[in-house]
Amino acid sequence: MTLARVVVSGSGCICAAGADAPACLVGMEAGRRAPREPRRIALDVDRPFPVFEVHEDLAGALRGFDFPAPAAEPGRTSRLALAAAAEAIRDAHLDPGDLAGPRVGVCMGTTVGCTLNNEPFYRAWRAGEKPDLGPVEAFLANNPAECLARALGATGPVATIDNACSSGADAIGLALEWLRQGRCDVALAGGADELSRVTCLGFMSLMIVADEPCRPFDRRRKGLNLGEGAGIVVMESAERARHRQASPRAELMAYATRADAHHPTAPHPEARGLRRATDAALKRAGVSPRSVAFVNAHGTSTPDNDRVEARAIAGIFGDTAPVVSTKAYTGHTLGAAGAIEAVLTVRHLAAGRIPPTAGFGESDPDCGMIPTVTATNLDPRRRAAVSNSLAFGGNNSVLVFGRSE
Amino acid sequence: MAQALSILGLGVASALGAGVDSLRKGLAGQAKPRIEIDRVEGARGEVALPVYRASDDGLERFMARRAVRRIDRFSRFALLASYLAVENADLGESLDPSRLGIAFGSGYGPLETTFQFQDSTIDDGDKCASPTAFANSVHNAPASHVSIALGAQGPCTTITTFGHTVGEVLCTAATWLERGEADYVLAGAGENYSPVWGYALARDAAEWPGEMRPLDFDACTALPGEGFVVFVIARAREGGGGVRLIDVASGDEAPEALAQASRVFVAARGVREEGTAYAALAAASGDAPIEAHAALYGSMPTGLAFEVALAAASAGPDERIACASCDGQDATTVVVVGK
Repeated sequence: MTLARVVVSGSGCICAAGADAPACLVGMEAGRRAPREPRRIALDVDRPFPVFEVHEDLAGALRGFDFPAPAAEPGRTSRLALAAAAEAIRDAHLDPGDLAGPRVGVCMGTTVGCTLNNEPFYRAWRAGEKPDLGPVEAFLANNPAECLARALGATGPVATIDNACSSGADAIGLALEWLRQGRCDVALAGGADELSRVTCLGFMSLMIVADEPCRPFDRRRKGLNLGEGAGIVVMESAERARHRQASPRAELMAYATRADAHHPTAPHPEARGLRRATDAALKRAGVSPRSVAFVNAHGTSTPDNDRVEARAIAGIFGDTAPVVSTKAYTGHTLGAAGAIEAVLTVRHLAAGRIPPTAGFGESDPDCGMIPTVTATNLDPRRRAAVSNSLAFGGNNSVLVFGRSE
Repeated sequence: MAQALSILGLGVASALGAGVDSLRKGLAGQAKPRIEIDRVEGARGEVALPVYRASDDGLERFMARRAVRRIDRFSRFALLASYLAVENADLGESLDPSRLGIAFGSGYGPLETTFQFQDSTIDDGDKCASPTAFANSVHNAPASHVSIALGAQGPCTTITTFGHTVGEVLCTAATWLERGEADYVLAGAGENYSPVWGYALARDAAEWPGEMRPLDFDACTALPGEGFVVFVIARAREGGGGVRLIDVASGDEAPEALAQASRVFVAARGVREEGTAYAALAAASGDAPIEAHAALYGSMPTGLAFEVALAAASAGPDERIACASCDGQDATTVVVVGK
């Protein structure tokens, strides 16, 4: 069966690397990053806890961009999503008003954004007080996909995915299927997550957080740094984009996801799921590993993830495709990660150049793979790029993007 | 739906008990749901709130007690429902775990464990946050545990979009089957009660019901429920058994799906705001009788999964049952099943 070609006609992101995609690329090209102790949240821990926090004025990011029906009091995760969506819609040369109605779908990944984890509310309730239900109402009003759909007036399919750290990639993959099945003509898909005390303390309890800036794939790596942000792509059929004379950023050639069926929080030691997902995605895209210009790795900088992922990448791609971990600049943004990395993959593929993997200095013999150490030009003959997302629960999701013709 | 699908197996852990027979007995009035009283603070003082409680009794038939000691109640409901669904499907050697997908959903996720994690930091400080509670508090923990327990290595996803959840879970399962991503998909959804949910329901309630009356839209009769439903879904085969999953429709397509039904099951949750939407739904259903069964399993954003389970368990020959849920005023999802 021949499936309809789907293109990314617009993309946007906001994260610690930059308030929009061009700013991210400029900073990353220069190797700039600035993980710091969190400003918005307080943690009672006796060790450094560098995070990649977004300091931009989110209201400012939305200024001059009128959504037809502004969402009711969006929370921070939803505001991050709206900021990324605003950039993606502009980038697609669409007007928000074009995105109302039943032929537009919204699919978002998140973790924090779908969890009722308001600490002051819970503490008050536990103490026997009768706290106001505002936080519960905010939780109900801020499901990221519903919130964005409401803001746009989009009434097509809507879904929020919580597959932990692969949520954003999975949301883009599900939206690809919606378009191919004709459930909608245009889809906004991506992910958003804010930093929260709950996730910071949770990851610290699992002992996979570094007390220094992260070093993906480096022998001395100590763990991940958490981050926050959002990434969103506007997707439509190639035919529709051509009809409206849009200039797509890239083609979304394939998506595949496979479970490890191994452990709730650790990857399969032989990367069983990742290998199968990569094989399936490349096959579906019709590209060989030698056609891949670069791999944007999950690259969290945890000992386990990087060892397992690097071996799988080396096994599949050999040393032919350069590998970068953009988490070195964004931190691990959880439900947003796969989407932010999709946006950065699309933008870097279009630019023909990828950044150095900041923090990397010493190769790890256990990894058997060295990521980019300087900004690297891509081989123009190679038409595809791969973005990996691995997750708690053993999810392994792979997106394959192709250069726009 | 682009292709014919079958529900080959059904598993449930709900207030009615475990397994398909618990649903049939509940529908026939031969079994009553397990309802426990939770005392919560309401607007006018303490309220005795009836809660529809599920149990993981029976899971020990499939998993050693030691194997589940670090798994929370919500995931245990999902595990029990999954094992029962696979057993009910009786797939034998045709079940290849590398070709088994999982599509689960929940409106609120593992609420109990979400707050247990916060308990660990409130009681013992930030440095003593519980890694076990954290790992179980992620919404996709039930799918993860089922994937590990059954060795399911196909695609695995969790959707959490309140009233839209169940429809998208079933559509996702259908997509994977259509694309050849999996031979079988465990598609399911459920909820987990926490006293915080009870408080949220009771806090501003002007009056409090003694029982759920899901079709009485003049009153708020919502009583929280919990549990998990899992379906084994596959491409339909000539002469194959099971119940047909005929359609999943929403938006403009919902009225047509309703119009062809011989019976309509609605996942009304016992809240006033749904009255307008269900009135429109009733108008589109023609002469088909409308039933609502939340009084058997409790009020849940994923109640549609329980209505589909009741329909699959009770559908007669040549019957076509449309199961519908309305998310607030505007969105309607219709799932049609039949023999």
